[in-house]
Amino acid sequence: MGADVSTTVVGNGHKTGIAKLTVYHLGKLVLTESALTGEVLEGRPDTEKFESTDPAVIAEVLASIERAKPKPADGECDARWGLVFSDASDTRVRTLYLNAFGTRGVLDGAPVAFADDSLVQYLRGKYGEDFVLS
Amino acid sequence: MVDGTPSGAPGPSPSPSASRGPTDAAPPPKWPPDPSPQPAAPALHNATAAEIAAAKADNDKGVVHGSESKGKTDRTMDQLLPEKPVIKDGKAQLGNLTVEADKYPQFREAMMHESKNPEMNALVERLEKGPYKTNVTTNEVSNNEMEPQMNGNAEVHWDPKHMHVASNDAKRSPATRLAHELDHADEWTHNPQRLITNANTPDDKFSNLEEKRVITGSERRNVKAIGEGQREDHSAGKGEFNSKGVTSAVPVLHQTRGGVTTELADGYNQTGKISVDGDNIKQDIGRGQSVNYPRAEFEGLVGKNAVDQAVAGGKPVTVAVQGGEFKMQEPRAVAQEVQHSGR
Repeated sequence: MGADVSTTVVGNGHKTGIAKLTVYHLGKLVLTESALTGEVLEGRPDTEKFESTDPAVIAEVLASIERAKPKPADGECDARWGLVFSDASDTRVRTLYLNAFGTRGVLDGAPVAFADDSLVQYLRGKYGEDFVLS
Repeated sequence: MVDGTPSGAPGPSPSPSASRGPTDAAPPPKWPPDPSPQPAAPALHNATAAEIAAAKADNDKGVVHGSESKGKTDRTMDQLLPEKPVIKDGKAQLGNLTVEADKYPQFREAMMHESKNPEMNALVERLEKGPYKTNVTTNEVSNNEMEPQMNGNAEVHWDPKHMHVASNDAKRSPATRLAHELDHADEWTHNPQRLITNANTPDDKFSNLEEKRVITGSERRNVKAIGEGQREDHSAGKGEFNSKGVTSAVPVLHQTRGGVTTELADGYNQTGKISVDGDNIKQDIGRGQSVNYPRAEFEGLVGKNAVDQAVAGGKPVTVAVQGGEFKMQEPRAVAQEVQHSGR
């Protein structure tokens, strides 16, 4: 089941020609009254945004998602990370949001859970820490 | 570490012999107090694996530290939040609690309402007498949050305009949402290391243990005291809607007919087929006329699946507001409810 979800992500990365990755990250410690959705995360003025068109980076991020083995799960996540994959015409192909713990996410609108926190550890190493005090 | 007991709190009563009349009586303590000098930033460390594991283990046993009542104070909310506070630098000064001056009346109205749970009085007193500042600023973009600062201060952002509908349909007023954030601010002011540990400990239903501490603690007691809904998770739920007022958990809904947008009042009732029309849900109400409802509001309150089913079904539905509840049902179901309610 988990393999199905992650293979879909990676498989589509190769087949549909993902041309750009946009990473959204809210690294500071902020306690919101209700969980942040991916849409809200993207729109916050204090969310950092990183863009890459480097195929190697895109492949690396896709592989890190595959390693974390997302599986369908109930519930929502308090989004602190957003990974948006777009094609050459800047159309969104895949979106993945995940919480600061790397335990829960939303893949193309469907809630998922991860086997471990390897994905968020990878993202922290590349883009910045979580739970940072202002 | 600060234990949360206000230094200005009433002490033991003097013995009768000590009381010799008004000239000897100590002047009543000034309230709200003047801001106290800012101490050095609290010494904090990142949550360790052992601390997170201990918090998880306690949570598994049903214990969330700090979710108990804030206690009591002799001061009423009216005394804690005077109608005309000292204003300095555009902010109402309430000891170490500051509020945007022009929004202070709404802040005060909200906390007067929440004080139906008396522990809210103690909470506000703790913030006013706290060692670090809590600064409240407002917005109208559904931003309700507490941002802990490295220097020990707490920045609270509050939207007095929007209420929230949780995944279980529980509705909370802007006032209750403010009280939620003030509880986080109190934790940061008086128990910052515990906040860090709890915020770093995941919870599947409540995002993290700090959210669980507040939602299952003071928030639950607040909604019980004021008659609002009790949510069972920290999710974004069904969304945020304009509220009828700071203390109201009733969403304001709208319709547009003939180019004129109006607020839906209790007793509203229209029957007809619905369809999706861009950002609106369109309802044909006969004789070539139609009504539009904002799609986000409509889908948020009745659920996107229900809307999709009604559109696909192609049968007339009744859109109604009854007792502040926005409903979309089969025409007969709503008619029966109206009959039962004696209307």
